[in-house]
Amino acid sequence: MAVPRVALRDLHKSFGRLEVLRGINLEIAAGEVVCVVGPSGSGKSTMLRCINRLEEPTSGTVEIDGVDITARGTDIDKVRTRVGMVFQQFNLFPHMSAAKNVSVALRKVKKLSKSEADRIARDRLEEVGLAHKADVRPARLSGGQQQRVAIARALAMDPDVMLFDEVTSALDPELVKGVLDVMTRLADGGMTMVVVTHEMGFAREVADRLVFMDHGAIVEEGDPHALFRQQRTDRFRVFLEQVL
Amino acid sequence: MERLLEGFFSLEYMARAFPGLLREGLVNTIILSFGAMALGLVGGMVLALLAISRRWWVRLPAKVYIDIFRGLPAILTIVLIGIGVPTAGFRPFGRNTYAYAILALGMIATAYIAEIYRAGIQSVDKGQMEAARSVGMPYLMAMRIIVIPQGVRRVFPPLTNEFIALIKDSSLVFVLGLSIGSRELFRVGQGIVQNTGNYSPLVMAGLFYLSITVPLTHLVNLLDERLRKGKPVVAEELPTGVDAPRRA
Repeated sequence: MAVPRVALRDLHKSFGRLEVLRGINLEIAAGEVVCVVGPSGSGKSTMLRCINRLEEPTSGTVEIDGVDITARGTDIDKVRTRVGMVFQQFNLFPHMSAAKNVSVALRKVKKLSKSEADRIARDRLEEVGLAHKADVRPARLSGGQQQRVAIARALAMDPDVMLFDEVTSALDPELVKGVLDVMTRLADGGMTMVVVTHEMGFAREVADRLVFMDHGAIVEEGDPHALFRQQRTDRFRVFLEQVL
Repeated sequence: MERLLEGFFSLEYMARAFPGLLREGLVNTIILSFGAMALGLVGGMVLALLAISRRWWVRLPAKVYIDIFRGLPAILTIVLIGIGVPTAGFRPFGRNTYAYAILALGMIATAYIAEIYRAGIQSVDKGQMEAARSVGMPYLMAMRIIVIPQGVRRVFPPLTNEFIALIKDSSLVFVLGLSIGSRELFRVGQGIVQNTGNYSPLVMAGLFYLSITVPLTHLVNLLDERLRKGKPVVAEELPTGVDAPRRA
């Protein structure tokens, strides 16, 4: 089997005495879309944030294309240019226009010329349907538009993996679809995606694999259609009954 | 009553003091306070960044510096730096008392401004740092182009307050005995008072101070109000009550 794009091996994370992750093992192939669901506090966001080391794992390793990025001496900034992340609260830079939000890291991190960075920013905004908002500051955009700019910002770095951390949870219901549509297109385009979400419809239709987490561990995983039809554990069944 | 008027508000004495206050006093007050503010803005940023480090041994020296220079009376610091240090044989600026005066005021300002910056930086949502790091920016770059510009904007009012405090405190450098030509407003005014026994020149000096500090105070209020109401550009919640130290 080919080297997985992302591999989590026996990942543990504790905040003080609170054990948030208790030995996560997960391999994600290139081009695969994995949706992670579970009750709040189950550790799914923490697991996601370990993949680009916004959280430092307490033990265990994270591998990207077979390279352990938790190893001493890893240039984490370089790793992060290959791992895009989109946040629940968007976290756009409020003092910059939409285009600048997308281009700033291209200029400062990738050291591209202004014209090239601007061109990429325009293209990425176009992809998320917001080319006409390029010069607008985030405060003037709706939540859904802000989130699409945030996706464009992450995509601009041309990442190998995209991490989505409950990206529709802070949105008004009528704005959710626009964001999910962008993500669906991205998945269809072959992007490797790890999506922590409460959107069961999206998980069923778009995910190649569904992962159910509870109490810091992966309880069930597999084909989403099969899992939605039939659960092996009571915990997953009860969870689905509550959210569906 | 007339003697009181004559002793404090004599137009004649005021008019006579005016040119000296303007050309010597005001100029030096401005140089001292601007110079100290410049030092404070730079030093304060360095110290603020150290003070928010996650490593205690980076934090500690910054915290100690801030505690000391905020805790000491300004006049004591000015004498220690302005007279004590050169007397002890450490003379980076030779016998240029003026330079030591700016250094002393700047060192005090650094402590206060560090706390103002720190409050501003820490008021920026931590999602901003995370987003910046997630696109590959190193910590200091993320600070410089994402976090600090947002934090500093929020602390404009307390920074202006600090500048006002500095203008007033610059009068304390009189204790260093600056030579004629390099005296600031207070000392120039006081010099004439000592020669004439009439206090009008000091009142005139006071008017000079007020002509700078009062407009600045109103500028602070204006800035505060605009930040509070939130201009469209930065419409998300702006904690204008940023917990910044104020000088008594």
